[in-house]
Amino acid sequence: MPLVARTPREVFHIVQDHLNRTLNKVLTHHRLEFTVRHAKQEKTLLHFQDSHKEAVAISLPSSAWRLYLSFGLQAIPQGRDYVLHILQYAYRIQQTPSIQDEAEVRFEYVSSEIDPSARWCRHHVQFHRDYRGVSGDFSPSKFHIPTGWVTIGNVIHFLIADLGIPPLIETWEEELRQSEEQFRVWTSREVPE
Amino acid sequence: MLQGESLMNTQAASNTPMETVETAENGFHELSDEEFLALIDTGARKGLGMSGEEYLRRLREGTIERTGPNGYLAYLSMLASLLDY
Repeated sequence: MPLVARTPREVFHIVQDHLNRTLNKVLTHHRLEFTVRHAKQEKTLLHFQDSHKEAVAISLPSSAWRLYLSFGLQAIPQGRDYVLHILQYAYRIQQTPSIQDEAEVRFEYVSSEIDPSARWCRHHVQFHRDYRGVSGDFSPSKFHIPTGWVTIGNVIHFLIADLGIPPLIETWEEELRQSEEQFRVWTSREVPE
Repeated sequence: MLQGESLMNTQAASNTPMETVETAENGFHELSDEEFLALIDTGARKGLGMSGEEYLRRLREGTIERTGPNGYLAYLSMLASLLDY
């Protein structure tokens, strides 16, 4: 069953509360915040932002790694309610605060509503251009290497398990499993193990 | 669709103070159109070295990417989608 609520803002708050609860329990005390136009309440950008409302890759505990998460969200009318729709997402793992700097790895999705003419895989992962160990004509920073739908839970799992970020709680795997389960229901998508 | 370029031009010509409707209730930053276009302009200048007006024009013409190594491409794309670009 998709995420349904009575107003666009209620839809967005449910998603925000869910993601921040997971982030704050498992990984970081930073919180995702919304930017929305007063005149366009049914679309929003949910992301990490600084005090000037600008996008920023947040620091992670006991680590040189930084994280930027962003979602372009839409609440679509369905009868008297609204349903969550994800227009675009970008998750960046990098070593500087500025998102202008190239990330070591990026997980991205661009829907057909946002870019109808894109011919590359809409779910893809890309790597820093100085990625080592590949042949000259294979560029992980340019190819849109296909992936499944990537959740924030997947990214948190990768940060803890592979990059050594210390989790905030010992039961982080169970917290992530429960979070993933809820997101699977809301988005009606198969969440990769 | 809100016409970003004409709104920016009007704002610059009139030199009037921006309307402020921003609230930050529970992490919700609600911006007037003027504030929103200013946010796009700031991001485009800082991240891509062009004005917000030029960014929106190039997005409309399909001559700028929605993603890329520079994270401002995806960030500004998501902001622009709130203008139905």
